[in-house]
Amino acid sequence: MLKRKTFCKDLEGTAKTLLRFKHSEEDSGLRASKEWEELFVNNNYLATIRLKGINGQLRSSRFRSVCWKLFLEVLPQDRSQWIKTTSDLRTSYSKIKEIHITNPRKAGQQDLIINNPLSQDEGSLWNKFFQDKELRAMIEQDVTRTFPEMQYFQQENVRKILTDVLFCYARENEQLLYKQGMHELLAPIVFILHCDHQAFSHASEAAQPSEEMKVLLNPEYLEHDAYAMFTRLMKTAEHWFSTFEHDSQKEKDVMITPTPFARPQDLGPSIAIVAKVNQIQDHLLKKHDIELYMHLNRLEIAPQIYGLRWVRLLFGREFPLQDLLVVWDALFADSITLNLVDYIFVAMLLYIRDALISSNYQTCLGLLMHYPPIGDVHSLILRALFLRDPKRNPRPVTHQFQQNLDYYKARGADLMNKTRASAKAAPLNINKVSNSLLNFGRKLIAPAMASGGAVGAPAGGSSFPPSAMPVRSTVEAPQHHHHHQQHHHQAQQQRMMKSESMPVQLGKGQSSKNISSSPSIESLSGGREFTGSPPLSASKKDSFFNTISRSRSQSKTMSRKESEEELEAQISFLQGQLNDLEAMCKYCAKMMNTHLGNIQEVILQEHLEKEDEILVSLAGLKQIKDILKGSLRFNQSQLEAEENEQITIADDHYCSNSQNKGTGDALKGSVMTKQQFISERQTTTDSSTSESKTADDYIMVSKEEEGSRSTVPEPAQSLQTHKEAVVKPEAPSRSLIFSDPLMGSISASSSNLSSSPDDDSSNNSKDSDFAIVSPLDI
Amino acid sequence: MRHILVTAVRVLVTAVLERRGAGQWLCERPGAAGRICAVLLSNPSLTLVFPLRCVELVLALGDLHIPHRCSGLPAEFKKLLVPGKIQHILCTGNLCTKETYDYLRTLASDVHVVRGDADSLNYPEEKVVTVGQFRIGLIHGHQVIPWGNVASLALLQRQLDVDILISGHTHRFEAVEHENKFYINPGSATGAYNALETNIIPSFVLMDIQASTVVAYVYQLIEDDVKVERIEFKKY
Repeated sequence: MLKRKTFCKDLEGTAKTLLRFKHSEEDSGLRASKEWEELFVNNNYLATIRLKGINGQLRSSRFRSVCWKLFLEVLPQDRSQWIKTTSDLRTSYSKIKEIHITNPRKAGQQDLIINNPLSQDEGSLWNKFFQDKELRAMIEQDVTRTFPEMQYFQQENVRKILTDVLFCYARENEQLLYKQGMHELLAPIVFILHCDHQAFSHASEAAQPSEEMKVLLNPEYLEHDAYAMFTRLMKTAEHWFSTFEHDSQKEKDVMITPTPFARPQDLGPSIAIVAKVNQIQDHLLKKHDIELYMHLNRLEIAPQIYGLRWVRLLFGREFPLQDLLVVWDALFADSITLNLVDYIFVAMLLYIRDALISSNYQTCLGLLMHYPPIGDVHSLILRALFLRDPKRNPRPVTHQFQQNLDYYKARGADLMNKTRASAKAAPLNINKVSNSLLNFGRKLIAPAMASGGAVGAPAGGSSFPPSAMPVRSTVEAPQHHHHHQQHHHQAQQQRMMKSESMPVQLGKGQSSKNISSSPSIESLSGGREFTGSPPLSASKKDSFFNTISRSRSQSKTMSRKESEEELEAQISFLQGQLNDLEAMCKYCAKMMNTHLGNIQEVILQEHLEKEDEILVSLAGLKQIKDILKGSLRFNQSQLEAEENEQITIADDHYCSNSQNKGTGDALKGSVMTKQQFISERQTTTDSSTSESKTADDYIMVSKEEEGSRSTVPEPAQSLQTHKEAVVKPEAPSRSLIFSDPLMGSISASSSNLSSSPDDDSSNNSKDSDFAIVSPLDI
Repeated sequence: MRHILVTAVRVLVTAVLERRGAGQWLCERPGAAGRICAVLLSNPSLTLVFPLRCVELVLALGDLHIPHRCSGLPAEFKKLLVPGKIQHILCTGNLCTKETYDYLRTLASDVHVVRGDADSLNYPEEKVVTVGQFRIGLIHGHQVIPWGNVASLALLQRQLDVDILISGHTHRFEAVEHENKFYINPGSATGAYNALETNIIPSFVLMDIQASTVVAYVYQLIEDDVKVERIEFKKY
């Protein structure tokens, strides 16, 4: 006959059937009593069950609650005393309940002045009643949120039990009252009591259980037992909940200047739990894994962010219920002082250390706040034991968490946005912006890197402005698929993201060159990636697009509310891009200006043969300079005109003059006027026809504002087209020579600056009619 | 079915309570009762706990005449009237402004006001509110002639078919049981003067409605001291 025991791991139905026996009922009774004897009826039973607890062998035990009671010292060691102690505790709880759950109408004999419903007197029963009501409401709020995934805790009677126990505890311990988190400590206790009662009722249907068993596992006293266990547990755990500040520096008048360079966890009042969690990180973690410690410090992740919840709830929210019970088995079995908590804490951190080290702030937060599920929780316990006492415990096999980190990055982003009030608000955008600009700078410097790089860079040049670089953007990616491995991408991505965590100061234009060095330093000094392949700085740059595109595809399933943040990030990123490009253009314009001036001077002095052509070319170049600088507005129709290779000058309201007398040196830049600007067909200068001042036909666009967006990205194209235009001149029907009054004033030979058709004013004048839009130059 | 349950529980409860010597009461507010019954019957191990959610406090006041005859409620009264404790407010009228109405709204969410002769806003002339087992009628009182006459009020009570009739206008506190019906006049909460009387004691009434019992607490401001009186009234 096969005897099999099956475990029900389904949380939904666990409340009903933790153990399902498939054999006859008589056996179940027998097995129950057998187990009882095995556990409790021998000389050194306490040590035995402790050992079982630590080894996780209580997972399927029918008498887990009894074991816990023993661990928590609710039951004395002496077995003969069990029944007596239990009944004592139960009656005391009943009494407590009676005291605290009051009926304000009962006291008829009290003085009416004190005991009326509106009284705020301390002695008034009504007052107490209202206070109780408030406390109860607070507790109930938390109770309804306990283990929402479990059907068992949705039942009204269970909730009432939880509320009553917590309420009585709060009333018994006035200095602590009720704090959020206590419900999570109570819930598993109630749960295992219930499970044991279920199992017991199954077993006792058949065989007659012993008197002891009957008393201990009496389902009527679930509440009382739960209360007893809970209070005992809280004796250890209560100072984690207390918010008593140890620091005596509570003078509000004195301006307490925080110490400079203080870590966020060190600022603020020192509460017991915070001190504990800090101590775990500063000492234990530092001792066992200094790299992780440094990394967390550098990211300024205060341990109380995640540690508070871990410790206060005894990891209640980090593991699924069955695993949690195993952890608690070990915790309680180990010692009532819950000393193993610290080491389990560290063991949990070590499990995800690789992922943490290679992540940025956002992903780290995501990982820590949503702890990834562990396959074998027992290994964690073993590790914790080993950390505590390496000599006596075996060294466990080290598992590491290796999974797709994008999920955690997203979770981390949620958390970051929730805690925007903290000073961490800025880094998100800055990181994204800086990262993209980093990349842009890198592309400027090394446009044609190794294999895939060439594809990336020029395509990036055109697609860069429209494509948004932030990692989580949902813009369609340029479809460059390199053949790198997935994990390699991720590795790159991790390093990318890590480099984001260093806010990089970007200046304008020139300094973008300097930045390229820092990311590579970052990658070199960074932590190991989990695949261990050495970072390739070259391929890193060009495969960045891949990681972006891949992560983009992965991130396409993000929720709507994230899209707003993404848009924001995109916007800020684009803004940064634009600023950078602007800066670059200005720089180019400036340099061009200088050099063109030089060339012009030399040419004018030289008296060459084909002077005119050169001068026309110079004029074209000056136009380019103006476009870069922003005084001229670049029109898209130029591009089309380029392709047509024709002069299609529609109309020439403004082009009236052919007064291109003047010397050949007159071509200085162009003057902004309030006119339409259709640019340069192929500017032709037959040295024969025109008197060489022929510039292109320009109808100028009045510029609304400097640095308008359409202008800025275009210089790249316009650079090329202008060059082309200047090279292939053609005879225009009109010619206009505009000059830049500002330039005119600067240059020495500022003769013959032709006027615009509209105005008769000389070009030299800084006429207000001419809308020169380059205030920066002034 | 629920009724049977309720009575069954009531029997249970009274049995238990008599053993303990406590007063007998069980709130029968619908919904709460059902839940409590379910709880009690399903889990006999639970010690019987008095259902605390059944406390219904009703505040009756009126004739404030703010700002025409008085500037505001007395400070001692204001100290007592804290939001969160009172479930219903029944106001006999003559507030007279919207600001006073808003203040009452901050004390409780359920505010009923009837129109007095000095009110300008659009309130109804009379109202009937059901709280617990009681039907409570509300009227200002200037419509009832002679003012404050019990027999005339009884006429109105029969007309509205209420168990408790709250009226005002006389600015004088009264609580009368007449023909097994309860007549309450909360007086003037600010102590505003009347046409016939200038010396008015500020007063209001707070009713604690249990199943078929009403306990009325009368708060009066006599020489800067709040005095409380307690009056009990049973329905049957």
